[in-house]
Amino acid sequence: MKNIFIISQNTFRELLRNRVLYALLFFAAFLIILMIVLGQLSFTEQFRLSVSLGLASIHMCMAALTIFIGGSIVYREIDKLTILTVLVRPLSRAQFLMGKYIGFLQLMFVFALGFFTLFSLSLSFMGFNYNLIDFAIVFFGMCLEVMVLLAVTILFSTFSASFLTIIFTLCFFFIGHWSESLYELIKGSYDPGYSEVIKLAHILLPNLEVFNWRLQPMESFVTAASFGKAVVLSLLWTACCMQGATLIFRKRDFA
Amino acid sequence: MALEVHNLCKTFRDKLTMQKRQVLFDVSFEVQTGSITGFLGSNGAGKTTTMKSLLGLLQKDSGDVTFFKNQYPDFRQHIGYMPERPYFYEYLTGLEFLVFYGQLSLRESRAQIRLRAVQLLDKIGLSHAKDKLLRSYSKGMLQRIGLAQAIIHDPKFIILDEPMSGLDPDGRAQIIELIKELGQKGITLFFSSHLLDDVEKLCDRLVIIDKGRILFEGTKQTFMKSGTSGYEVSFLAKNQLQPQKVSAPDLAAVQNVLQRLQQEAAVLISVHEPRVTLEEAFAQLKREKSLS
Repeated sequence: MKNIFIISQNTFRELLRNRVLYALLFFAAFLIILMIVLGQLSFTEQFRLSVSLGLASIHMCMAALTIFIGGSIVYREIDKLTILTVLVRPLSRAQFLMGKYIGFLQLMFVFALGFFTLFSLSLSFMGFNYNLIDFAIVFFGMCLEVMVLLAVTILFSTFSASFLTIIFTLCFFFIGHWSESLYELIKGSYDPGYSEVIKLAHILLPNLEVFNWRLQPMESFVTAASFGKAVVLSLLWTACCMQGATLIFRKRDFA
Repeated sequence: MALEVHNLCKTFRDKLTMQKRQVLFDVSFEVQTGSITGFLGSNGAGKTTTMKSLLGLLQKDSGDVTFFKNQYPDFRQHIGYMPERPYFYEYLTGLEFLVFYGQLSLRESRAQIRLRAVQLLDKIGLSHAKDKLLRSYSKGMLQRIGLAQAIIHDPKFIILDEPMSGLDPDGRAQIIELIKELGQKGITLFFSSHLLDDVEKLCDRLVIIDKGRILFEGTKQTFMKSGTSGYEVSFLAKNQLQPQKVSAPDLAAVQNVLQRLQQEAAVLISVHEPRVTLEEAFAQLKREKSLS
């Protein structure tokens, strides 16, 4: 545990000192505020529109940060050869990956908290009345999705370069969000072979829509069961991806 | 014995063509406890591959690697390693960098490790740069802090891959001094280098590799003797002022030369084994091996 903690703290510090990250954060904050303000253009549904646009932009920013920055945290160590002096220390490769994972997750949780605060303050500033718990639920769902996305990113980065990792994870992200809709669309298909393939993909690939609770502030639809299911699924998918990543990483040469 | 390597083999596979290329062929050698062993070989001979295979950074195809006769549950606790190119975490300061590596290897409190790091920075002459980010360090400073990360946990065995490469004479002298100091403390050192002059100054034992095969393993003296070819007799011939030299392959031949000189009334100046440098001995060994 001590080794995981040391690697995670180092990763966290590395990310905090990354200047590119601050540029992205500034852009994200600007986008969120812009979306909330844009919602004001609606004639009757100002609250609904502001909240939907604001939460959608936060979701996109968190996913983008996870995929684009997270996609390089392991690869950069391999590419810059910093991994050589770390892996000759008494720590396992699994501990190294877990440390990188937790370090990045720590940072994303800090960002989520920051976005949450910014979003709530902006809504208050606009004079909207809202239930803070509903927004906390939405942000918790986003954090669960980040956990899964990051584990997938780490899995891909154990065997591919940064660019490919980003491409693979982007594909995973879009499939994960669209698989439900595709499945619904294809269910009525006349081609049985095609619909079987989609059915199989629907079963095998994670459905990231289980973490999408962005309508909660308007419709209060998240039940204890759906909440529990999302938590269990996120832990399961994360564990599977990290296990896979460890198996590949253990066999990897660092030439 | 600090390290025993038996029949180490390593093959790389090309990522595109999937073609196999064997780079280490039954590499076997030993490193004695407390010795300073130089690992010599040309570019691409297999030095870095061997070192990385010893440390588990490369998965070996076959062979056995035993550190400290397996007396420790995790040998890495007692190993220090500095890779060939000193790429380190450039977003860390010198002090943070050493504390990070100390924490990974030591079971001491953060305060104790910090104290160790400060003392070490002072020792390697970098205490003035302890709060500067590594990205602002010069190549020589990086090499020194690289060596410091390898010794922060007082290892019993240090592996250095080309520790003097790319350094100016001052930087090289500093690293040589540090290595000497470590050797005097009884720490086992195993290092590769292209700079044979430095190896000659530092090492007591040598392991020589070429094209993935071990060519020589033994003391520096034995190796340098193997580069000599017999004896050299210097003399002044009768009525001559210019000294002349004759080579003799063995002691019997020297005897014959001396008898002849006596008969010719020549004046004997000296009989000695010609001294060769490590570089000459290395070149000769490679020539012999390529002929055989």
